[in-house]
Amino acid sequence: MLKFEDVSFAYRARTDVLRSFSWNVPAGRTVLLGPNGAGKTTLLSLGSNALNPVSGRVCLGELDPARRRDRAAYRAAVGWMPQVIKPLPGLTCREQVAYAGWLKGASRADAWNHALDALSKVALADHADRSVSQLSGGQLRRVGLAQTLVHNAQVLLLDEPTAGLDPAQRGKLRETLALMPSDTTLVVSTHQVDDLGDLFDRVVVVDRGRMVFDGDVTSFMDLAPDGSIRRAEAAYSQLISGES
Amino acid sequence: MRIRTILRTNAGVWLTLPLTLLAVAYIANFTRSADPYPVAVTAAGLAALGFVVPICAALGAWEGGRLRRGGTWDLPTVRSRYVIAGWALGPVVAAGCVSVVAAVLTSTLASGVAVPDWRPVLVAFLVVLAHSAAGFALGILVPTALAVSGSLLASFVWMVFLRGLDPMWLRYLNGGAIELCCDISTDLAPSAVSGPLVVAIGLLAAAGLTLATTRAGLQRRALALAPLLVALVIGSMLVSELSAYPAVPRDERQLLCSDRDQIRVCVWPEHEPRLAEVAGLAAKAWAGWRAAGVSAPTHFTEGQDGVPPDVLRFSFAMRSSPSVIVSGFAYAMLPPWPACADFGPYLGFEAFEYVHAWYAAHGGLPEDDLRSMYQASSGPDRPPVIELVDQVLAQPLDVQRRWLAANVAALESCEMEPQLSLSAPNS
Repeated sequence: MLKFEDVSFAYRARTDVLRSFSWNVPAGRTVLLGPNGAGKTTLLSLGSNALNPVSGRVCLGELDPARRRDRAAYRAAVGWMPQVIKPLPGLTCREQVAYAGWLKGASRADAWNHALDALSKVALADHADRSVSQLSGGQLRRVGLAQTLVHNAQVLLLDEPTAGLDPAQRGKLRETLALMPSDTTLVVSTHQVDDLGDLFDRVVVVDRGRMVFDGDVTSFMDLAPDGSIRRAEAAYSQLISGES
Repeated sequence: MRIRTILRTNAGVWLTLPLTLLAVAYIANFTRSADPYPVAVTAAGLAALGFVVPICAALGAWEGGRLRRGGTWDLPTVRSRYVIAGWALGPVVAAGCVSVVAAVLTSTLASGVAVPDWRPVLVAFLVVLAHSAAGFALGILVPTALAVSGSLLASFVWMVFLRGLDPMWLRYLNGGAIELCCDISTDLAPSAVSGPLVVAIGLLAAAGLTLATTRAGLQRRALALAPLLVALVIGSMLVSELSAYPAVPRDERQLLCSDRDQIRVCVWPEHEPRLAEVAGLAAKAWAGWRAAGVSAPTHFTEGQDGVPPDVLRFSFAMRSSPSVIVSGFAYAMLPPWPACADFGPYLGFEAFEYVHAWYAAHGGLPEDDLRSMYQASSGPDRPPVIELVDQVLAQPLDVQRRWLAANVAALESCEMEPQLSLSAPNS
């Protein structure tokens, strides 16, 4: 289980983004909600070990990435899709995904073979030999998702995977997420409440670096005042004042 | 990353062939060593470093920029940054090393040397690696266009313009000046190898530390330059004793000698195929000088051991004609350049060609060759060399010796007038 224990973090010359943040990430699909600047990206970056906490610790079972000997195993076990997908210039989709797998420790042959599987999972197998630079924004996001799938991670942390996508592209990406193996811990951050649908088991809401809600989808929806038409948005508004 | 992907996308792979062809064309165009001396002809191949290294630095910057644009350094990777950088940089370094090897082989094979000397090649490889890594480090720090142009320019300035700066030993810090090594009687100075190696290792370490601290604060990133600064200090200390050429006297134990007709002739191993011929020429020259009543050493050597007049130091090249070799013997018979000539007028200097021609004539230089050598040699205030030497040679030997003694004395001092006629000192 992925755990955040009393984690604090601050970027240079900024006030704390997270302060004494603790969270046991449950198995299953969790949506991470919060307004812009709430700390969602920082939280997922810490979870992926792209960032290190100023204090506290992040661990996966016994694996503590602060310990040098655990770091590689931890990173191999956690897949992270950053908000911005930056393809390596000159690569095809399959090469890009295989490269990500290689970076995560897979052998060249394994990464190459699994890349096609990962592209199939995100419905891009027929684009495998196309240059990444020719892809649309939605296709690029799916390549980003394939990059997190290529190394069979136990935990997938997806940062705003639907940001900037049109409704059709968002629908396709949600279909892809719905096909994720049930034994994978999946955390998807978004500030679009209507992304919830019936895809997720749990909802976590953060605001100004603090967790303001952690519960199942039903409990979250129950926060909406009676008679609300858009219940998810209404529930969210109850937690985040001034946001909708 | 998959090898096929690297081969398809890495700039180093694409530029290996053009860079290699450029290096070969450059070296083939202007270097020709007269002797098959491995260290000299290998070093001559390093002339290509002046453009191979800056291009590798720029290619390294390009590859660093690619990884930067691809966000590789922002990812929590399992593979270490050095492994990732190694695979990105490998083809670039390989392109540089292949070009260096091709340039060196162009130089060595043209001189009949099959196996290059490893020391210049080692320095060249490490310099290529260090500059490629430095370019790569810059590429991951700043925008690609700036990194590529900056690396190209900085590396070019370091490799090419350093040679024009004072003090002279600065030229040895970059490794490129090894190309100035060596004539056959000298060997590559150890400090000309260790100095640039230390600097290259320092640059490599600085690039490595930069890779490790890309997300650190400015102060820690600045500290990455510390190994380079330390290496520059150590490298400077190592090369500061070197003069215009990165050479030390060659080990005399390598000389191969021939003893024939009481004459001992020693040549460097590369000249062994002509040892017997040279020994014959030396014996003939010695006999000619003896017949003219002039004392000459019985030991002719290409080495530096021994002090004239006990030994006759000479040099020649494999392609030298017998006449050139005899002419070299004659030059070796001339007295050394007097120290006073460095600071004031040297009146005896004008006797130089006449005395040389006389020694050459008695040493066995064919008359035709002597005439062609000095055909156009005369001055407004002195007679043509051939004309005067012909007159001298027509005289009895005791007259010739007096004329010779007077002019040798003039050559040894600065104030004495040479005797450029048979009658009296020239005015």
